[in-house]
Amino acid sequence: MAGALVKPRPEWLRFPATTMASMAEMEESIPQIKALGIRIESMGDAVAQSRLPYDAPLVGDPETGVLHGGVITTQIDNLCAVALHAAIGHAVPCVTIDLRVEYLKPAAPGLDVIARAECRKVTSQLAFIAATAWNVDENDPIAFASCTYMLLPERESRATTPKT
Amino acid sequence: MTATLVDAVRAARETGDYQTVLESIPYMKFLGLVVEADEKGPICRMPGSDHIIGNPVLPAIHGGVVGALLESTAIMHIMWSRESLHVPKIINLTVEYLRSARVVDTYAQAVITKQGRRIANMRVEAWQADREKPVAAAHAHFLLPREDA
Repeated sequence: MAGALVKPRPEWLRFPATTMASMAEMEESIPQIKALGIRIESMGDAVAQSRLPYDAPLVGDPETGVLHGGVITTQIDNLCAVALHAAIGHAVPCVTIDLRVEYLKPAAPGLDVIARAECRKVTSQLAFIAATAWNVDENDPIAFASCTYMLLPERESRATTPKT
Repeated sequence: MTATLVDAVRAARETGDYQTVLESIPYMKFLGLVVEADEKGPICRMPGSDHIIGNPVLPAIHGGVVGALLESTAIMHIMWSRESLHVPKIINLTVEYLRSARVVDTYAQAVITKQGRRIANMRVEAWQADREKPVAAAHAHFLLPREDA
């Protein structure tokens, strides 16, 4: 179901295969993602979609009830890693080196935020991912983002202990 | 209803204490941010805590949370600099991640690089033990509420 974008490199193979179950497990292990209530809704060859439930403690403007931009930043940063893992087929450790978010309009108070990320390019060391977020209609987005990740296959896995 | 944000900002301009303003913004409170100020403006401190972790193996603070700290600090700076009684609307944010952010106190301070009537251009830097070794830096644009003009 995943990994069609790039042929897995030998150094990636020791990491767990990317599946909905392994990604859900990874999300479950990340305290901030749990705290925000973010869930992966779907995953494809190089794409992933997640949902952030609206919650009063996540509001950034008490006068309007609009979510804090940082909450959407976190949702997108996290989702870009999932799309990257979907693209390369293995949960290779990675870190964000650059993230740009354009906040097209305020998130609608009371509504969930849905985001979709697509991994556009992977090299031996880098991955480039684009993302969009919306409330109700994908064609009426609230944010665009582009994100660059660095792959760290020399690091220990975060999902499970690598098999020796 | 308790004191409004505008009341809190007005009071802070008298006392110089912006913690009440910060705590009236739910997500800043959720992150446990504490605001102090020097002559250059507010310094926001985010204490290390379990719920802000993004990588439990290292462990490290979630990159998105570092982004949220940088954005929050820019927002506090704009309100401190008397440019707005309301939360300014973010237009965009670019975060450069420079070092892994360990789960300890993280500080951030912003500067206004260009102040227009409607737009503020901001630079923000975050650091931990050593200010000379920032963990992240951002630049961002904010829309200033027009009713303040």
